[in-house]
Amino acid sequence: LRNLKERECRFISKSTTDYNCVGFAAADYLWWHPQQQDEHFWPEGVPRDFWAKTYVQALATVHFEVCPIQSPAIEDGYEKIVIYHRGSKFSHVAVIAGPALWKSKLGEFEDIEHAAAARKMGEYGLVFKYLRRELKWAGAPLPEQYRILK
Amino acid sequence: MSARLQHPPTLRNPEPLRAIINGKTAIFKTPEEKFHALVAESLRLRAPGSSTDSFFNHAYGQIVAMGWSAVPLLLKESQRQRGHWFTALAWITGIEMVTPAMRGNLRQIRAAWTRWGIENGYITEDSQGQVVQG
Repeated sequence: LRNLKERECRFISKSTTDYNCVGFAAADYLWWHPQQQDEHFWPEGVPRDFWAKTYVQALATVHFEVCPIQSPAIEDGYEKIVIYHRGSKFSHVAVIAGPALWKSKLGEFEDIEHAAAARKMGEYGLVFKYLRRELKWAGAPLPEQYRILK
Repeated sequence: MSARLQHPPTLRNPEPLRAIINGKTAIFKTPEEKFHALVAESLRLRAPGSSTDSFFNHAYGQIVAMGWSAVPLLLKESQRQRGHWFTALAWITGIEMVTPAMRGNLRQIRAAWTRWGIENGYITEDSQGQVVQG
């Protein structure tokens, strides 16, 4: 990311093309994409387009709902994500991991943890919606093969 | 360079290996050289860090146009876990390897194509590391 300096974030996975930011947010570690249906995942019945509202619909299939109060604040009993858009087209989704701590999968690169304040909006656009999912629907932890050994 | 060929290409007198890289015609000595130049071009054309940008572009199309000569190279590239080349493999070979349940699971898809590549002699298990389990 041009606007995110390495000292502002911590790498939490190896670089991989196996899953993207949507698979990371859904925690199923798939590559979600509305096109290239021969190899990529897209939920049945969801339109195959890039509108940010369509991604809200897609993520609803894994139990995410639009937060009634649109804020990054952590809510008890829920995990929270934020969808970015550029001109109403989906651009990115990040996981809100704690107060001022977000996690992102950068396309085919690494997963990172970064301070929300360090998030530079120019790169991925503007916040479209905050979504939340009850913890009982939480996905799997990052598979071992992608973890960085400490 | 004129688009007109100097002579009709034949098996005995094949045309040089050409590809359009960054808007210009380039000539290569081997299919491997051409393939790797097109892979680099394909990655260059993708927005870095994007989850939505399509993997399809004119370099991807030129790799598919290489036909079967690209198959072992695509399989090795997949074993290295770089890029998404499974649609190209399906289009060239005419084999539908991916079941609906496998869609999006690049680990499973890679493992299936790697098994196929080994069974059909295009790659060896140790050519680029072990088969990745799904």
